[in-house]
Amino acid sequence: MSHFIKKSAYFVFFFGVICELIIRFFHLVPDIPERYFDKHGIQRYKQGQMGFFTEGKVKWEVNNFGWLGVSDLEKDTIISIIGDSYIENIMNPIECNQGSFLKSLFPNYSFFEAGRSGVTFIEAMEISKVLETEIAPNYHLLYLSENDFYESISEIARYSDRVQISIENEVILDSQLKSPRMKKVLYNFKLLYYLYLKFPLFVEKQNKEQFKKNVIKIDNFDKVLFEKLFIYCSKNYNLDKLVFVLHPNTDKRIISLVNNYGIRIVLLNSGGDKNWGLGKHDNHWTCYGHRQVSKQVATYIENH
Amino acid sequence: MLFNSVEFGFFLPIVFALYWFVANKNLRLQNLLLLIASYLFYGWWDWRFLSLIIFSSFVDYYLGIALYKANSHNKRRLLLLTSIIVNLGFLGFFKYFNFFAESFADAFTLLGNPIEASRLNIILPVGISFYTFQTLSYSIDIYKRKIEPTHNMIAFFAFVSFFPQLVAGPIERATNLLPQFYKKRNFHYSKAVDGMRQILWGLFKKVVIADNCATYANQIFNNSDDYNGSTLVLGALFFTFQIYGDFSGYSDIAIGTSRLFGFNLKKNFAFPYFSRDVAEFWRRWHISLSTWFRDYLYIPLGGSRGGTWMKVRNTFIIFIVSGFWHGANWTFVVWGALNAIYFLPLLLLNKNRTYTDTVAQGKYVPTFKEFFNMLTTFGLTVLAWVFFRADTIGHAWRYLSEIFSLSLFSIPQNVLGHEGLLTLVLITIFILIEWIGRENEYAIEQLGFKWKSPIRYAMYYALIIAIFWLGGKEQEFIYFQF
Repeated sequence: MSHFIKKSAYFVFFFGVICELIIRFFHLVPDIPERYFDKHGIQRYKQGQMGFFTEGKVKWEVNNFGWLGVSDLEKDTIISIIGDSYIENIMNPIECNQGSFLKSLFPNYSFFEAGRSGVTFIEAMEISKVLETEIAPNYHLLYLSENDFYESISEIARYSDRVQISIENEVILDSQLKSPRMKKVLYNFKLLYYLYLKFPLFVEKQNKEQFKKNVIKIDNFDKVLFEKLFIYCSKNYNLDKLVFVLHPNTDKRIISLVNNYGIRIVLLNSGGDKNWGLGKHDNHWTCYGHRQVSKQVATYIENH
Repeated sequence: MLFNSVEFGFFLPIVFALYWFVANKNLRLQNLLLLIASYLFYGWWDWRFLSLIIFSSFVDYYLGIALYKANSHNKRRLLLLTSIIVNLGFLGFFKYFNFFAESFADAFTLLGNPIEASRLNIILPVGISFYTFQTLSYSIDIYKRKIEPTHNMIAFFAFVSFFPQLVAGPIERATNLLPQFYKKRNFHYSKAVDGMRQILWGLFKKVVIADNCATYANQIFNNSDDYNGSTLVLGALFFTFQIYGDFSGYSDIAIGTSRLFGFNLKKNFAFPYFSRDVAEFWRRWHISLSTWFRDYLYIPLGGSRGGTWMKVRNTFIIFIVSGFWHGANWTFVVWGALNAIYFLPLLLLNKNRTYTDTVAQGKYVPTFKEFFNMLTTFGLTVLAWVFFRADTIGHAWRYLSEIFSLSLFSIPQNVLGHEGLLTLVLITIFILIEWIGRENEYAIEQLGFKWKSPIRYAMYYALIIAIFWLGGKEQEFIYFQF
């Protein structure tokens, strides 16, 4: 028996080493950049990191500001682009970022992207405030989905890994890195990460959680809370410089609130085009989707 | 719990460790552990159906004892009938109720009296066809005084629910499996390694061959009206390898897993696609079911002892019942009947036992005649699988009509892409390995034993990497639904 166990252990060990090498060589899992908190409590990526998204087709690099994306500040008119993983866009080449597409349409403007997965509406507002001091943009384009509003309010549901606001106390709640040590192990031990991503035990769990989240979002529209959220924003941020780029099918009640506070809106319309999304389980935009979005945003910029 | 799931990847080593390190001194404890593990394995899917398997075990355990004690012939018959009614009653209710209700309604509608079929909203308990037949054979064997009933309840319950073969066979007989629960099991290195190799090969068949073939078989069968004859042939071929990889892969994993625990299960597949006629095919395909029907249905009906009419009748009965066992759909009945039609000429001409050895034994290449016979048998089997896979008889008929049209000679439509071509390459490699290993219990049983260990290990790693990397989208085992 001990011979069998010993041989099995060696076998598994060498298997692990071989798989680790193969996964690294063929980039079978995405490389995930490491984060840190800046002095404002915003999570950014440690500068100088670079890696690949799945299968090595897409390379990413963290810029000097701690974001993954376009950071052009050459022109007099600077427009910031703030958002979550859609703007971070780690799954597509940088040429497919909003900043790149808009730059090609408006060569006389500079575009600066500050996107990171997990950014909520209130964090996007905080980022806009921080960018005011760092690069002083003329406008901020905030790309937001319906979820980003719900996830901003801690009274609806508390997410410790996201920046939220406690509406009742009017306090911004900083985020925390969720199991950072485990993530470090997972991201560095590629075989584990590969198994984590590939096998359905975890995926099913994630899907169930996502499903629950979607249900929460629909059932928890609280007009009073949302009113208070926007009152807080009007007091603490410069709304004049903001343009909200809202994802298709955003709840009309949210749109109406945004309008009431005089914030400018670009309401995206996919027209049911399924090519916008990456696939069945991933709604992030494809390169094509990003191009279509940028065209709709460009129309707005031209007219205003 | 699926064999190809992460859960099973955790479950198996834990049960293995407990079995050999904690419960190894006590046979009763080992059996109890296997019973609990088996119920956990089954209950993972839906714990509510555990009550069914426990009830079925109780009934056959006590009926078995009563059957053996009973002296009067009538009482014995009554007890056996009770066992049959209980077991087939469950099977009939869960598996066939809706089918019969709908078929009756359809029949009345055809006769001009349309009636509404009252369907029951029930799901089919996984593996019910397998464990029902296993418990049923136990009662019948006691009735025939082939075996004595067990008084070891834990052993019997563990025999009925033994997790490696619980949900998709092989269908074990009490004569083979039950005595193994009474004897002390010792760990044998070579047996465990052999078990691991068989599990590895089974996983390769299931995850790499069957799951990849499933993608294209589903695509082509689900949209068959859009494809030409040659593409439909491709779809039928993909399904042919899907069902073989799926089911024989499951059997390999089941047999290999059992070996890790010191048990020997019956062989369930013996390279059926290398058969030279349909009779040989049926001696090599799902052996545990074929022999079950032979022993408990065909022979009691008179087998091939009677006149020609009797032979024809019995052959049709056994094939149609076998088809119906697979599912509550007329397509399975037609599939069974078609196989009976293939088989009958061989039986009537007394040629059904022409090929009892392995094809081209000791040779690498078959003779032209052998090759031709294999190809013909394979072709007939592929055609029959169309009925097995199709949603309705009409669907199968349209599928076959298109195959036998002029579009058979047109170029297959572009449905494969690079991944489909890779699947074809994998199938070719798979056939070659199966051919090389066809004289063994499973294809890689002896493969690599004469090689230097680094090369042998490279083969293992290559298979595992193929499972992880080239595996198709996870699919349930087809036979779970039967």
